[in-house]
This record gives sequence, C-alpha cells and structure tokens, in this order.
Amino acid sequence: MPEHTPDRRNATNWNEIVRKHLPPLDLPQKEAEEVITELAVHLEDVYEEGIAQGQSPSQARQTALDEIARPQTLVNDIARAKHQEGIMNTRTKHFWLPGLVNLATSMVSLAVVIAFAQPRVYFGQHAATTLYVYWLAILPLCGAAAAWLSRRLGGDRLACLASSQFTSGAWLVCFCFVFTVSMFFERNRVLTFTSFLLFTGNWVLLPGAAMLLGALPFLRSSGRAGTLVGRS
Amino acid sequence: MTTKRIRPKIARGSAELAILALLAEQSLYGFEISKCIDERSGGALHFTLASLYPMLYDLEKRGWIAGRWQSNEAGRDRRYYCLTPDGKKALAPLRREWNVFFHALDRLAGVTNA
Repeated sequence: MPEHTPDRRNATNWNEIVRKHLPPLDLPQKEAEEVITELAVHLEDVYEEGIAQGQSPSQARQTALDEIARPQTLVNDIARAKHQEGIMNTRTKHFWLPGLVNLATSMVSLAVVIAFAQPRVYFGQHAATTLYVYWLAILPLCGAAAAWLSRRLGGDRLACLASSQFTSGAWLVCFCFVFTVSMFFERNRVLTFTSFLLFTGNWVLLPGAAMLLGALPFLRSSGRAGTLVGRS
Repeated sequence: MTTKRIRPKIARGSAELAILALLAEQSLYGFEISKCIDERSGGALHFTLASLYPMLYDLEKRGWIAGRWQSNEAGRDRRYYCLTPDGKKALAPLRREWNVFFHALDRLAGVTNA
C-alpha cells in the first residue's frame, strides 16, 4: 500500500483536544503533528468504543481524556522515546567509554614504566623491538577495568571483550597505517614485513592477551539480564 | 476465577515483549495493540495511551518496529506498526530472557503455585 499522510478529517475534534491538553512536544514540527494526530485517533477509538459499550457521550469523552491524565509525563516520555538518549547513547556507554578508559590507563601506565624501567630489546631480521615486561604485568588491570565498566553499564559479552582490547586495536590500526604508507607509498625498504610482525606481536598480541586475561572474569556471564531490568 | 489487573510497574517491563510478539503475527495500529494485549492477557495486562506510545516510539527508534500511515477497513487513517527484520532477530533472545527470568523468579519466590 502506498505511503501517505494521515487524513485528519475524522480526528479534527480530537486533534484540537489533544493540542489543548498536552504541553508543546519538544520535537520537529512535522513529527509533533504526526504524534498529535496518532494520539488523537487513539482517543477517538477509545471514545467510540465507550459509546459502543453503552456509555453516554460525556462518559466516553471522559474515559478517553483519562488516557492523557498526566500530560506533562506523557510529553516527556514521548520526547525521550523519540529522540533524547541522555548524555550518552548505548554504544558509547557499552564500548567507547570503557574502551577509552582502557586506552587511557594503559597509556599512562606505559608512560610510568618507560620513565622508571629499562625495556628488553628483541631483534628480528633487519628489525628490533622493545618489550616492557612491567607494562605487560599491569595490563590485565587495564583490561579488567574496561570490561568491568562495560559490564557495569549494561554491555553484553562482545562489548566487554571489545572494550578490553581497545588499546591493542588502536595499536594495530596505527601499525597497519604506518606499514602501508611506508611500504607502498614511500617505498621504505627498512620497514620490512618481519618488523611489522615483530611490532604487532609485541604491541598488539601480547598486550591483547594480557588485557584479555584481566577481562576474563567479566566475560563469563553476559550483562544482558541487567539490560532487560534497566529497560523495564 | 477473576483475573486481577497487573500493576503498571510490573506490566511496563513486559510491554516490549508483548508488543513485539503481537506484531510478529500481523501489523496493528496503537489502539489495536492495546486491545489485543488486553484481550489476550485476559485483562491482566492493560496499556493506556500514556504507557503504550512511548514504548512504540522507543521500539521504532531502535529499529525493531516500523510505523506507516495506512487506511483501515473502514477507510480511516491509522498508523500501522510492523516488525522489522531487526525486531524479528531481537524477539527470540527476548523470549529466552523472559523465560530465564520467570524460572529464576519461580525458584526464588515460588510464583507458579501461588
């Protein structure tokens, strides 16, 4: 059936009644009009049902009006349902915020370790990389912090896992970008594929494993049950 | 035995599942949805305009249902809601969650034989 705009002839009176009873909706004009029309046709249906059940017109009208007895609450609920997601939306709460906590804590701890400890240096074919063992020892805490926060804010298992691996993901994206640019655009022969693997192992896989270790206790059960209760 | 109407605080939590389950069967407009829920629950669940439409708009925002204006059999315009593919995907886990919830509550509070 083709989509069309509502015919307001049948709901004209109820449109006026809804407009009169409800405070202004905090929505774009067209959307607000549509909501008012929809509520008006609902009230009209309630009214007609009341008449069909033998109520007098004034009783049926009152029955319909009882449906919008708390107009301010209704308007707030509709505005919240339509648009307002609060300060943060679900993805931000479940993934981005815990992920940034993971990145911030791991980077601060790396800075502290670099300031106070000597790294171990590993050599590969035409490449060398540094390994901060103390940093690896701290990383489970960073992974645990992100997974705990994601879980606490209602994230499911995947969100907990992804946020706990945020730092590793950021490093991987950086390395891929640098490697691609160096190898294919700058024709840099010093940066070999071996060095890429060495860097990836030291800065992505090992930290990822360490952070996963910390996140494991929070991955055992999903936080979805909490989400259900929260929505209720 | 008369069915006592469930208090709004408890009923509100079930609205999401009730609406999705109904729309999985057919497209309905708001008043029909509230009537169907009322009838099928034997009057135990009742959603007023104030409790129904914010939930419909929230489900629509999440992409689980879609609404469009159509004429009903009497030639009057109503906004019909139907389940989207995402809504269909969401329904099965939601049913499982409620199943787990009921079993847990039963173990905890013995609601089945109350």
